[in-house]
Amino acid sequence: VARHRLHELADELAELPARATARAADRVAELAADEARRATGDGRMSGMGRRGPQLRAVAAIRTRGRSTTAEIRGVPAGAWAILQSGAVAHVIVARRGRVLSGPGMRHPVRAPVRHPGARGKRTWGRVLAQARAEVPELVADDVADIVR
Amino acid sequence: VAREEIRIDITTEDDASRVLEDVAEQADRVDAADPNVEVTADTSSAQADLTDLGAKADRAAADVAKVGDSSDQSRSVLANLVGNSAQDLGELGGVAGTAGVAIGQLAEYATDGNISLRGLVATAGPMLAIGVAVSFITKHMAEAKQEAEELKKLNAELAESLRAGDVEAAAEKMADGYGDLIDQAEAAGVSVQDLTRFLTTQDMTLQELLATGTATGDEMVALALNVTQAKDSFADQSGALATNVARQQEIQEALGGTAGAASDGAAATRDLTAAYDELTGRLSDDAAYLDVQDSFDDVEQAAREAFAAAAAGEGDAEQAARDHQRAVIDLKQQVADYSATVAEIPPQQATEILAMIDRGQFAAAEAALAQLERNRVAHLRLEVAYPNRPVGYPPNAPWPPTGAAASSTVVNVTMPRGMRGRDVAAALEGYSRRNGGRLARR
Repeated sequence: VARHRLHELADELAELPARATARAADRVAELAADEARRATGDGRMSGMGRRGPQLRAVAAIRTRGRSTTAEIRGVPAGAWAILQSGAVAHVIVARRGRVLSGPGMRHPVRAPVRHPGARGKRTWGRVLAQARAEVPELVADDVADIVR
Repeated sequence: VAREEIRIDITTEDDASRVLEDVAEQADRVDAADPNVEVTADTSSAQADLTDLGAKADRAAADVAKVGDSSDQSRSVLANLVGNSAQDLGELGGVAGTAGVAIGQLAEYATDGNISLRGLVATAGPMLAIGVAVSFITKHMAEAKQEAEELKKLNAELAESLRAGDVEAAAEKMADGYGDLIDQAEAAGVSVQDLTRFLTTQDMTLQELLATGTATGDEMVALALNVTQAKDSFADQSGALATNVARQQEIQEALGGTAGAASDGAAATRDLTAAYDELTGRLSDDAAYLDVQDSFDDVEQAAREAFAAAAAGEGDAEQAARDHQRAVIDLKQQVADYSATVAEIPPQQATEILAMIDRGQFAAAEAALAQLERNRVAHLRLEVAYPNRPVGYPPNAPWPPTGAAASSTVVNVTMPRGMRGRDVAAALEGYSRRNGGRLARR
């Protein structure tokens, strides 16, 4: 192989971590949005706030030397945590001047409400499972494109 | 629920580009030192490792399964796993492109076993990088080797086509090919005439040929096998030769008799002259080197006589000293001529040798000349090693993991005579230092 091609390949490989990681992070964010829609119907966590927060994933990508790391977090973390692991039974107290409303309630109430608890749907776990299957292949594809 | 759980870390590391860049720079430096340098890659060890790729894949999968059965799903178990099968996985990743699968399996186990993906990816990343580096080097060095071979073949074909028309030379070459067989036959008591008759005609059977010999047992069996093979290949070669002759005759006829014959004769003469020049050139090179060596011996002899004469206080001590001086001058002249005209030794090298002679370091000068005279081969062993301990790797576990990343590529650098081995050695050692001793000279 020609010497200049060696240099070119080295350059292309050096750029790989940043590119591959960004691509992988985008894919994981897509997977998270899909799984959230599957679990909730509209991708929002009902029963939290007025409209229910949108469940999504955000990535912080850092490159240090020859290593690039994407830290992908589910936001809001609390909503994802409940979807993942569920919630124990608890009492919900309305804040001063506010009333409580939610699915299954005929009308808003001021009195504390007993939440029966919820089973986790392991939604984030499914995101993780898909990511671990797809991400290495994405990276391997990128590598193969360069080395081929 | 801990927030940490709602998080995925992906780390991609690149170690391959650094290794490649080093290799490329090395090639640049060697090329800059001498454009005639030939860089060849011996990938036999890497390729040998790949032959049992399937077995390695099975072994890696078995390791994963074994750990999956284990109740102790701690990080140290993962560390052991990485240590045991890093090499397999690295090779799989680079060469077969299934690192994704292998690492995915690891990830599956690790996440189920309360091992954070962060730690896992940090560990798996270098393995992928190693695989990439190994596969890249193996692949492209193999390509380089193939290109070189194709070029060689092309040259041979070119030379062959240039030689078209020189039937005698082809026949001679063919005869050379049977030199070993002739030796073997003579050792077994079979005459060259009988052997030639057997090979070139249908007048003699194998039994008749062997009956003329005196040897028995294994020797005769070996001869029988070889002559049978030789007869077959001779038939093929003669066929080719006959076709060539027929083609030439056709050309000659087309050219019109005498004119064709004349040009053919001229071409044959040119070939003969070139062959003779080549042979005499080589012989005179060898002879020139022998002459230089003789001059070294003369100097040694003259010196010994001069010192003996001086020590004994003989009357001709002064004459002996002059003889010695003359021998030294002759030697310097010989070395200078040889360096400039025959061996094409770089002037600075030749000057160094002459200076050694001036200082009376005859043995060193002779050794230096012999050193420059021969071709050089430097073997470089390129080891692809783990990078620094990854983040999240257990602090108590050994790094790099035991038995990991033993893949290596051997790069052979062959230099023409006249180049100093120490130039290459110095460059390599510098390279090795800069890369934490990853490149080991052999």
